[in-house]
Parts: sequence; C-alpha cells; structure tokens
Amino acid sequence: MRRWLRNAALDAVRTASGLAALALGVVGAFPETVSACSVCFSAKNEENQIAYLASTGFLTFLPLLLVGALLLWVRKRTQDTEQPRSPDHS
Amino acid sequence: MQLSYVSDGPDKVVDIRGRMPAARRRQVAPNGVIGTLLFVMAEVMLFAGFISAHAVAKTTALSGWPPPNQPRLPVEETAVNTAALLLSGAALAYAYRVYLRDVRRARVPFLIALLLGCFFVAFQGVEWLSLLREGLTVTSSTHGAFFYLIVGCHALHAVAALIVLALQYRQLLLDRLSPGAFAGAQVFWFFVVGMWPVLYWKVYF
Repeated sequence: MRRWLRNAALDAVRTASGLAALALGVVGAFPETVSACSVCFSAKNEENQIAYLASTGFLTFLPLLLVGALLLWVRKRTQDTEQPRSPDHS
Repeated sequence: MQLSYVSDGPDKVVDIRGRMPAARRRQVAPNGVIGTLLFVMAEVMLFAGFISAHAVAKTTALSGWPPPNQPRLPVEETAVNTAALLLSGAALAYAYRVYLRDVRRARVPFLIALLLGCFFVAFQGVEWLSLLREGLTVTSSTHGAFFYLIVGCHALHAVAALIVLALQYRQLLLDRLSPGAFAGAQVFWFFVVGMWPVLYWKVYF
C-alpha cells in the first residue's frame, strides 16, 4: 500500500514536471508581447521600472529562501538528534 | 491490516507484539516552534508584499516622497525606539538561555524584555498621535496610507506578541512555563524585533 502510494506520487511529480517543461518550451518557442506585464507597461520612469523589477525578484525568491532555510534548519536538527548517544546513555 | 506498533510516550514507538522498543522517534523541535515558524513565514510574505507595494508607490509619486504638504516622519525619535525594541529581543534571548539552566533566574530578563516591548508600543502610540495632529492621516496621502498600514500592522503583531509574553510571564512566575512554549513565543518576538529595522529603513527614509 505504502509502495503503491509512493510510486503514484512519483508518477504525479514526473507528469507535472513533463507538462511544465512542455508548456515552457511552447511559450519560449513563440515569444509575444506580454501586455499584462507591469514591469514593461506600468512603469512611468526608470526608477519605477527598477522598483517593479526588484519587487518581482524579491517576492519570487523570498518564499523559496524561507522554505529552504526552514528545511535546512530541520535537516540540521534531525542530524543533531540522530547522532549516537554516548555508551553510558544507551 | 493489523496494527503492530503503538506510540508509548512522546518519543518512542513500541512493538505491541513483543512490547519491545521498535524505533526511537525523537522530536526535532517543539511543535510550538515549528508552528510559529510556519506562521512567521506567512507573515514575512505579508510584509514583503507591503514593502514591495510601498517601493513601487514611492517611485511613482510625481511630487516627491513624502509629498511636500505632509509632515516628515520622526526618524531620530524612532531610532531610539528601535534600539529599545532590539534590546528587548536581546533580553528575551538572554532570558531563554538563563531559563534552560535556572527557571527562577529568567524572571528578571523576561520582565525587562516585556517592559521594553511595552515601551516600544507606547512610544509608537505617542508618535502616531503627534503625526495625526500634524495632519498625516490614512486618507491625507498615499504616504500616510502606507505609513499607517505598514507600521500599524507591525504594531498589531507587537501587541499580540506582548499579550502572549505577558501570559507566559505569569506562567513563569508560577513555574509552569514549558520550554517549548517559551521557545515558540521567542520565535514570534524575534520576528517582531527583526522585522522592525527593515520597516524602519524602508518607511522612514
């Protein structure tokens, strides 16, 4: 049961990754002007455009950074707690 | 499907067929800390959204930032308040270190952290009153709207954290404060303390 669930989850991840790569390829092959892009169309001056770009980057990478930091911290804590105890404690 | 293992206490799983320890499952961190960290991550994104919107609005302002007819924000006074908040964070960190060795000795630094936090919020209240008198309101300009939104949201978090700390101080006096609860509250207070210098830099300058 557990193995079946793990295989199903792996299949789902593989399918999703394949679809995402395909979509990215299609979009990349036929570039068009993105009218909804605030960086390209809403910016009134250069300073404003830089602010748009910086906030886009900031909001894109901050959650990844937060989740990554949490995972690293949990990994470190796990390694610390899994270290073998001294013989007198066993 | 037959159940073979049951939990026997917070940190171990026992094989009920032979009543022998099957595997040791140690806690990586207190649940309170993990839960608070996840909450803090969501709150960081909320403030990130505010800061980004503020940065974009600031560069869009045609008449300069802050607008000419609006009062300037009290940068110097707030620097003193920022120092008080940072000291409060340091005092709480020290209280936790002491608490792990001797619970009773943690009371004084904990109280200092709590009082400095209260001072920060009270000082902000006085600052707001003077700014309101000078004409900076939520509707007076985009500058005013962002100021009260961002700083007000932070103050709301600070008040919530202070309520938690006050309740925990009571538990500490009764010797009933658990390390997990203390660590969880500490994480939230560190978020309030750590977020403030960023907001101060982005909003006041």
